[in-house]
Order: sequence, then C-alpha cells, then structure tokens
Amino acid sequence: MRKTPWKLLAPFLIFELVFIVAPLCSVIWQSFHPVSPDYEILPQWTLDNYRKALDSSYLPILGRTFLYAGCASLAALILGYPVAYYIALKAGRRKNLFLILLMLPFWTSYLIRTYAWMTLLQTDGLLNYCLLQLGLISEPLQLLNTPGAVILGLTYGFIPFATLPIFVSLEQMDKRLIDAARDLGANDFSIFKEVVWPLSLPGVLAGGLLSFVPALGDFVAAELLGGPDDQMIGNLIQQQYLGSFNWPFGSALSLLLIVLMTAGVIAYARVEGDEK
Amino acid sequence: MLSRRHFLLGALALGLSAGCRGGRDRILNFYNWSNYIALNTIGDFEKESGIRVNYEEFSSADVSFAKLKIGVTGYDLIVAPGYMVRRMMRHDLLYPLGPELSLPEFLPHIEAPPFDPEQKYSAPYLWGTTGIGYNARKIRNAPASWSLLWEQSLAKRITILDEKRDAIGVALFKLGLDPNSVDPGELQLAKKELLKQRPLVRRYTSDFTDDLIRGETWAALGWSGDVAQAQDSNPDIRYILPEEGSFLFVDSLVVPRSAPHPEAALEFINYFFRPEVCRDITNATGYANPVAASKPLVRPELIDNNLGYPPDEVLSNLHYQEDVGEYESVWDDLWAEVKR
Repeated sequence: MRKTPWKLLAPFLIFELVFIVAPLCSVIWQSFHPVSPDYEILPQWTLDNYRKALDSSYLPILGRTFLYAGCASLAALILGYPVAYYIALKAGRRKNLFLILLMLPFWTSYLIRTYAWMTLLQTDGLLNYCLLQLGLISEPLQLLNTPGAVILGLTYGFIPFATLPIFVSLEQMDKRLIDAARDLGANDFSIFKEVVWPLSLPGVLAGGLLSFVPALGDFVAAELLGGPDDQMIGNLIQQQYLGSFNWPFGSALSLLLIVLMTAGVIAYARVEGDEK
Repeated sequence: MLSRRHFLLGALALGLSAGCRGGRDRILNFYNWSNYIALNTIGDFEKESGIRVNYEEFSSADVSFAKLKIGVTGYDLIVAPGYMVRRMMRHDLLYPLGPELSLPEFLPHIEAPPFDPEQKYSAPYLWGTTGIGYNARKIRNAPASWSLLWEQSLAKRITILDEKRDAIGVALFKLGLDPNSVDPGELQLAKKELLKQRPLVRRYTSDFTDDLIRGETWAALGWSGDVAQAQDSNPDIRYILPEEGSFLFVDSLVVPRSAPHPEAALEFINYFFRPEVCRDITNATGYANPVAASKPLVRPELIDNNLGYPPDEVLSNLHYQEDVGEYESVWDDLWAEVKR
C-alpha cells in the first residue's frame, strides 16, 4: 500500500526530471559561464552575466515587463470576473455553451490572434474606422506599436486563464448562502460584497497569477504590437537565444525572471493563505 | 473493442512499411528563407529527379546558424547570406562542393564573392541590395540619401530592419565610414546616429512589407526583392539605393558537413543553375539570380529600375557585408543597446 503513491507519481516525476529539472540545470550551469567573442561557451566560471542582467540599462525593461504584465492581468480579471459570475450563477442550462464560447477563440493559435489585432488596430483598421464614423476623432490614431496595444494583446491572450479559476470558485460556492443572506435582509450589493466576493477571492488570486505569469514571459505581443520602447524581458531573452547566441546571458536573464516570479508566487500564496 | 488494438497494430505496420519505403526513396532536406523560391520549383524538381524534397523555411539567418552550431542535423541544403557562409566556414560546418558541380557563367560581380572567392563551399543562389522602400504618394521628392531614414517629418512612419549588419551598416554609410567597421570609435558614432533615429522608428522588424503596402509606414530600410514584391501589391512603392553607398548581398546554397544526402543537394544546385529555373525564382521573389544567361529572361520591371539588376555604375557603389569575426559580439551589444 505504501508504495502506491510513488508508483502513481513516477510518470510525473520522470517527466519533471527530464523536461523541467534537467533543462533548468543546464540553464543555471550556462548562466555562470562566459562566452568567447564568437559565443562559444568557455569553461571558466563568472558572475558577469548576472552583473550585465542587473545593469542599469536593462532594468527599465524589467520594470516595464512587470508593469505591462500587471496591467494585463488586472484588466483580464476586471473583464473576466463579470463573465465568470454570469456563467457560474446566471447562465443556468446554457452554462456549458457559454464555457465553450469562452474557450472557442483560443483554439486558434495565439500568434494568429495577435496578427488579427494588428489588422484591427492599424491606421486604416476597423477600430479607427469606427471612431472616425462616430465622429469621436477627426484623424486616425496611431494605435498599433504602442504600450496600450501590447497590454491589450497580453490581456486578450491570457483572459481565459483569469476567467476560469473565478468561474470554478463561484461554481463551487454554496448557492444557499446567497438565499440565506437575502432572507436576512441583505440587498444585492451587500450580498456581493459580504458573500460572493470573499468566496470568489481564491479564484481571483489564482486567476491573477495564472494570467500574470505567462504574460511576464511573453514576447509575441511586444514583438508584433509594440514599438521600440515596448520591448519586454521575453524579447530580450529571445534575442539572446536566437539573435546573438549569447546563451549564457539569455540564461541569466531567464533565471532572474524565474527568481522574481517565484518570489512573487510565494508572496501571493502567503496572501491567499491569510485569506483562508 | 478488439478492433481498436487491431487498428493500432495495422497503423504501426503501415508506418513501418512507409518507413522502409522511405529508406529507398531519395530525399533532399532543404532549409531556405521564407518566401525565397518560386511556387513550382520544388514540384518540378521532384518530378524530374525523383527526389522527395522536405522543404522547411526560416525567417532569420541567425536561427539557421544556431541550429547547425548546436548540432541539429538532417539538413542537406541551406541558403545562407555571405557573412554567414564565412562564419560557417570558420566553424568548419560546411561540405566542400567539389567537381560534381557544373557552374554556369555567372554575372561578373558574382564570380568571386569575398566570403568564398573560389566558390569552394558555396554556390550563389539569389542576390539583392539593401535600400529604402518608400511610398511615393506620401513622400514626394525623396532624396537619394540615407538621411531619408532620419527625416523628422517621418516620425513613427519608418521601419528599420531588425538585422544588426544592415541597420548599423547604414548608419556607417551615412557617416561616410567603412560599413564593415570594427573600429570602436566609428561604431560609437554609428550608435549615436542610430539613437538619433530611434524616436522616429515605428518598429525594428524584417517583415516590413505589410506595413509599407498598407500605408501604415511610409519608408522602410529593406531589401530589394521584398520591395519589388511590395510594389506588386502597391504601385506607389519605390526603391532608392542611396548615393552614400549600400550593401550588395549574395545568399548562397551551402551543404552542411552533417548532410545525410549531399548528392541530392548537388543535384538540386545543378538544377537551380538552369536559366529558366532560376528565372522563375527571380520573377517570383524579386531577387536577381547569378546566372548570366538568365538575365535576359526575367520580367522587364526587374531590369528597368534599380530593384533587380542595378546598372554597373550603381553596382560599383555597393559593398559586401563582411564577416566581422571576433567583433561579432561588439556589433551585437551595440545593436542591443540601440534597440532597448
């Protein structure tokens, strides 16, 4: 009996070891080595890659990354919460239909959906056309290659990750609590504030985390929708691996991101623990 | 429920037999830039030679080099820019092409490219120039100068190629310096120019044609063939080869040392050199081919202006991009500092 958990865990552990732990070790190993002028990894040990990563000229990119990902995650929660609320509590028999509708766009590749935003946001795109027709603007706006476009792309890309955990926590909530609150004279606002919101908080925290973390590492949105001043840490890392072969520096940047993310997750978990 | 297992076994057997048959097939694994071949080339070659071609595309030469360098094998034929050929030669990644190749007569300026003067490891594929593509409806009286890409009135209407060799090289041309400079002082001057340009740049990208065609951008640092393709979609688009001088590049066919089917690769190279085969590719891509006998066959739009086959006096003002060797990382760092 005692051996059963290990047997059940074995496939997962082997997978983790081969596809997560081993590559991570190689990234850690690389990050402590210098490169030759031709980007051969040299056998000496060094901290230079970390010094370079923490160099003041790269810090704005790091700050921007957290800002954009934070805005996107917040926007995804604000947009996703009412949707999750409706599907979980009001949709009734059509619940599954709405869930499928929510997921449907995400069966298409993220890259293609980001390209779609390019055509919507371009100078003679649909959005500018509508604004012009409504008389809200007299000249087309430059919407593409702006910070707003990047945050929009990230929000859109990760919104289901924010919505679904909220849906799950609302779905699992004991609905009789709402009736009880109403019987005790609470109005709609206090029911939401005192009953629904606190019970959905674990979902909100999970959804925030699940949309924030992938947005932090993303490079597609900034690459396609951003301008020269919108590059995120993901673009910098991608550039090191595929552009200039400085894998050790790319590794140091990746680890820096992982460390910061982990610190964030731990802080988050603390908050969530306190809530419970 | 028995049928599912039978189906699986059957599928496995089918897969194995397909695998065996694959072993007898002749195969060519061809790795090329995206949009860099005619639609019919591969099919026609397969029909004639009986060789099955696995065709794969990349969008950055650096990625293809990275793959070779880390030991990804399986490619028989790769298209690489000149400086990359040099770099691959330096790392001993290439297979000497040898006497099986029957080279046709090349255009004079292609005969001895500086990256491989004896054409021992590379066979020229397509060539072109780096210049400015612009929208003549939006920009009237464009000067034949790189200063167009520093024009304040074009703020956020410009894209710059995300290729350090082109972007930094252009700044060096503008300053009248060696476009392949490794002098730290000169490179600092180039960096200053690029930082002056940065606020005007909409995007650093090598996919500049879409923005240009749609009128989203008005001027782009770009490559001749891509501009020619853009012109097919939007006739307002023109091309400038600035007077300060510009780059001529020759992309070459190379066979990696690790190639499993080098003989198929050589067969394709010989096939490519037929005037009508490379004519089709030139007509489709807008990039000139090296074969002298093919020039009279290509579509006239590519001859009449600077786009396809610039005249001799323009050619004499063009420079090759040279391998900067150990200064590669200096260029990389400079480019990273400009872009961030």
